[in-house]
Amino acid sequence: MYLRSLKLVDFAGVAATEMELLEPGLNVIVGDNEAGKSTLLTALRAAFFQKHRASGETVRALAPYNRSARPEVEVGFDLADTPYTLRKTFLQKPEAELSWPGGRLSGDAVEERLAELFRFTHSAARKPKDGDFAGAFGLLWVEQGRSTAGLDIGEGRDAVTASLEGEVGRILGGDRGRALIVAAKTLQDRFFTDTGREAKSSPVKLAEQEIESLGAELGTRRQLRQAFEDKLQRLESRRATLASYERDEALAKAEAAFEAAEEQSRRTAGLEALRQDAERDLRHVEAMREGAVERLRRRDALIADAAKADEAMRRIAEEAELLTREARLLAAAVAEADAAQTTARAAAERAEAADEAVRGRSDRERLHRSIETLQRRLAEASAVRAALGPLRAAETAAPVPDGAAIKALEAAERRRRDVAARLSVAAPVIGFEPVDPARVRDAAGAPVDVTAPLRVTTRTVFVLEGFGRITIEPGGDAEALRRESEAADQDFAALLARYQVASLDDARTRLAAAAERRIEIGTLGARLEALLPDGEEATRNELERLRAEMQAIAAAGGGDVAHVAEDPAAARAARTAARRRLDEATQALERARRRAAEQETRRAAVEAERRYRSEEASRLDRARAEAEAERNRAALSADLGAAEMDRASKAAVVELRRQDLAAADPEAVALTLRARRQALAEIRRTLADLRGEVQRLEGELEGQGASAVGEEIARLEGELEAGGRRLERLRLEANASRLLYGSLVAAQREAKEHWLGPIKSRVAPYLRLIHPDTDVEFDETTLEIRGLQRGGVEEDFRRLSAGAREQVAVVTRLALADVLKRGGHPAAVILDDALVNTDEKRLERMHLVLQRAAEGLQIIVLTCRERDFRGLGAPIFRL
Amino acid sequence: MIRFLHTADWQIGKPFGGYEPDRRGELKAERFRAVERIAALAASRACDAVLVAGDAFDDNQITDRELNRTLDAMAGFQGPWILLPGNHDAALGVSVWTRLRQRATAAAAIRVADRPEPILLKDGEAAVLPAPLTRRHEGADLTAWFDGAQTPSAAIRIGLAHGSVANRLPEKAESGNPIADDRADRARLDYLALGDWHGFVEIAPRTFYSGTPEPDRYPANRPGHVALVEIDAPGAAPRVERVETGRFDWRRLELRVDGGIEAVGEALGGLPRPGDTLLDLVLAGSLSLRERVRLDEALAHWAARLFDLRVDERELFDAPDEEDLDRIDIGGFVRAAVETLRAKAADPADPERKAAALALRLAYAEHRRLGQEGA
Repeated sequence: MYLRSLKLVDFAGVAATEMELLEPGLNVIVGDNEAGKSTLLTALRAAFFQKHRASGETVRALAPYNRSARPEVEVGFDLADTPYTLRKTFLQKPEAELSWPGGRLSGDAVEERLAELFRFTHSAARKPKDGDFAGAFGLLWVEQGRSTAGLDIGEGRDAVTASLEGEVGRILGGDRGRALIVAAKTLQDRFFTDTGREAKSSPVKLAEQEIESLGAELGTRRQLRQAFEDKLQRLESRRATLASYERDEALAKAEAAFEAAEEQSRRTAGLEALRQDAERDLRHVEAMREGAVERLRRRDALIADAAKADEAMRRIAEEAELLTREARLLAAAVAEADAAQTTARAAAERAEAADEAVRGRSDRERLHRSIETLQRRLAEASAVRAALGPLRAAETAAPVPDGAAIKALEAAERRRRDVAARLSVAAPVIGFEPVDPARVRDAAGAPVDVTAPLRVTTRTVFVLEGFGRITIEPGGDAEALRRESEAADQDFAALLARYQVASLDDARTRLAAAAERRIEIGTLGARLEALLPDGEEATRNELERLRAEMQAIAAAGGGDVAHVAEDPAAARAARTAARRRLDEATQALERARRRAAEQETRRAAVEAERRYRSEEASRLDRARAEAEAERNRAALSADLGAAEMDRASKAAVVELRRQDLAAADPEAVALTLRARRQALAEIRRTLADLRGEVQRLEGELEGQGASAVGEEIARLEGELEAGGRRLERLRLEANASRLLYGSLVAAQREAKEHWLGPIKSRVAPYLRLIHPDTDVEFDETTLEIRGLQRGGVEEDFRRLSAGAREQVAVVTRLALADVLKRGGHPAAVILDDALVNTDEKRLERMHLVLQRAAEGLQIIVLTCRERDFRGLGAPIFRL
Repeated sequence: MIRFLHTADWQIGKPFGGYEPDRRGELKAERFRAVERIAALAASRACDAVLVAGDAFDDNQITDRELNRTLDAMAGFQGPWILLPGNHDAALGVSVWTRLRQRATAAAAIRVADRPEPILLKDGEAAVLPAPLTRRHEGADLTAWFDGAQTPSAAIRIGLAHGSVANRLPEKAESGNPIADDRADRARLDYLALGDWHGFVEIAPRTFYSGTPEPDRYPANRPGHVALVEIDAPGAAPRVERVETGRFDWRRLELRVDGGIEAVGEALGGLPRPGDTLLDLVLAGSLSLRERVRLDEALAHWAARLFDLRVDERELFDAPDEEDLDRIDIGGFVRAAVETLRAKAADPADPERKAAALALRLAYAEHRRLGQEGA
């Protein structure tokens, strides 16, 4: 396609402009802002794609500003080597006219021919909108300010695709292909989510759930059925068992057997009773025999005891006789010893009296001396106490000032003197030298001694006869000192009174006297202590005691000592000897007496024994006699013999009975009876159980009989089978839908790769000129430029600089135009201020790009910067 | 002379679970109506008895409602009815018969033949020898006792049994409950009334299966009849009339379609009563996608006309040809995708083979639909 010329009249902002002889290659149209560059583009679009009779916003925008005129555009262009001239007017009296050598069309036929020539379809809308009809030219004819926005392919995608179809044949499938994909997607969406998972509402899933619930239900029913049948089975088996019992007459047989066993048992019980009777008889006879034996034994024992008692009595009588004789001898010995002792005692008493007399005299002398000593010490103590009396009285008579009192008195005295001295200095001294001493009197009228100077310490009034009154007022501190002096005097006087002393000296004297007295008292006290260490009371008691002792000794015959030998030692020896002889005599007596006593004791015991034995012997003899009289021993012996014989015969009977019983085997009989009884009970219980269970089972089964379980099972099985078939079909459908959609999408992707390839291969040489080592990446589905691939790193298109974006967009458009042109589509590129952000260096490169592209394409550059394209070597048109 | 109806296999309560609920209801209800028809027939032909040779009930645990409806349906014939327990309604310890007796005590005309002992009819003019099943499956021939059964000398001997006659039926039918094929001869029977086989057939001399009076399965073995039997005297040959009682026409149709579906239209168009027909259509062959889509449409049409239609197309294969594919798209990625799918569908080793075939068909159908919408 080659735009040859363009002419506008009353078209939007342009009153009239005409451009002739545009080049088939590169053209530059320069115009300042608002000069109408963009209007040129609008006019071209309107001419080719806008129905001349259209109305609406887009068309109204073509009207000239503030004028009522009809916009007119005329384009000259070559297509497929045919030169065409197209003229259109809009709004009022719209017209269209297309002419070429040998042909001419006008009116709506023009629009149809244009759509045919440029392979686009008019929008069906009566009021077209911007971009409706742009088609591929929407991409190739770039309006001002949109060059950085990528391809903005959204609206134009289908157009591109449609346009590209010429190149890549019908590989893209066209509308039908896209519709088929949508339809396949819808089919797939029935079963799957967009992420390829099974959809929640997938019929497959629903069918599976249904089958699962049917299966569960079927399982439940089958279990019910099985339970029912098990019960039925049990009923059959119980009935069969019951029938076998009845057939065998098991109960009657068991009862008969039990009765037989009972009869047998009764018989055994009779034998047992006989045996027990015989044994009881035997036990009775044996008891009788034992009684006879016992009686005989006791009789023999009685006879022996009587004999033994006689013998014992005889022996003890002999012993008693012997002891009686011996007792007489011993009594004589005692009497003899007694006499000897009496003699010895008299001798000893004499010796003792002699000895006592000697000892009493020396005691009296010793007592006498002690009494004297005590009397003397008591007299001395009395004298000392007399001396102590006045001293102690003085001690307590008056208080004695102590050291502290003396010090206080001394301090008070010193102060008194001190103050008096200071007063004597401070007080004025009045010296009267009257003519008549008697003429001086004091305030009270008493005469004043005027011989000596008078010291005035206080306000004092003197009456001087013949003169009058004179008042002396001592100044300074004389008055204070006087008061202090008085106070000091009072203090001193008070101290004296407290210690009851006349003066300080008196106090000192009394202190010294007190000290002296205390020493004297201490000395006398010590002396008294030495004289009466135990105190006076104790000493006097001792004295009294000694005197009493003295008197006692005197009373005890102190006077009868004249005949006593003078030698106390001899007296003592004699006394000791006599005493010893007495002791020996006493001991001999004791021995004799003890022997006699012992012998007496023994004799009494033997005598008692003798008496007992005698009684025992006579008692036994009596008993034996009585027993023999009643039934003699021979008779008893005969009794025993008879009992023995009886026992033997009874024992034989018992043995016989035992044998009878053993022959009947009572143990076996009892066991048999028990077993038969149990068997009978067991059979009865079993029968009752069986009948009960049969009835119960019949009841249950009849109750459950109408539950239609079998029917339900058959129904569920049928439903499951049908559901299984449906599920299989649905699964197949699901897989088929996925397969179809997947195959279509895969094929479409492959196809796109196929035709994106040519675009990329066309872009590459241009791109290398401005951005070496760079590839452009397209989004497969949206066809948008995704970014640049630089050194293996993909850069997002939106993050490229404005300059880079517009460069990439422009070269991509050039490549697209290339593709379209080679596909036989009409294509021409118009760039309206498309490279405003490009730096100089790159602009130079873009010039190369444009020049290269212009070798096969017509490119019209609209710009407001003439100098940017001055060096391009293209014809420049100015608006 | 005695005249009686021989029927069997009513299968009352059969649930037909594989069918849509509304159809199930109709199929179940029809079985009561079949009994009504039998009662009416017995009454109108003045039968001396109706012999039901087992499986009157589909299950021992049918509901009381079904039991009552059965008795109601039987009311059209005053009796006697002689009902033999079969394998579906065996006379177990507690069974449907227990319940039936509780209800039918008043109606003395209903006799449950659950014991192997002769039942005399018409004052001893005939004796029925029943062989009731007391278990679902018997290994022994329960009719053996017929041989030595004592009956009045002037009585016509009629055997009544349920099971498979040995050596006469297809093998799969012989699942148990055997009956000797010479039983009628050996037991001097004038007629042996059998149940279990659902089609009407004289299986051995004087030995008949009446079949079910109302078909309930697809096999074409002449179901839907009862036998009307007349026997003049002991030893006389029975006159057996096959009387149709069925309503529903259960059919299995196996069709081969290769290249075109005309056979389907012809076969289905020939059905006498499509509204009462349950068709099990087995299709085999291969079809182009065009024909296949046509077939689906035709089957949808027939599914709406027939009482029930089930189609087995496991042996029916899609054979997309160039024309099919060109119709979808002659080029472009769609064609590429379609070719991929065709290759998959044609590869026997591909696990997704079936899915691929269906996918192709879907693509075809969708494309056609889009084309129709676009047109």
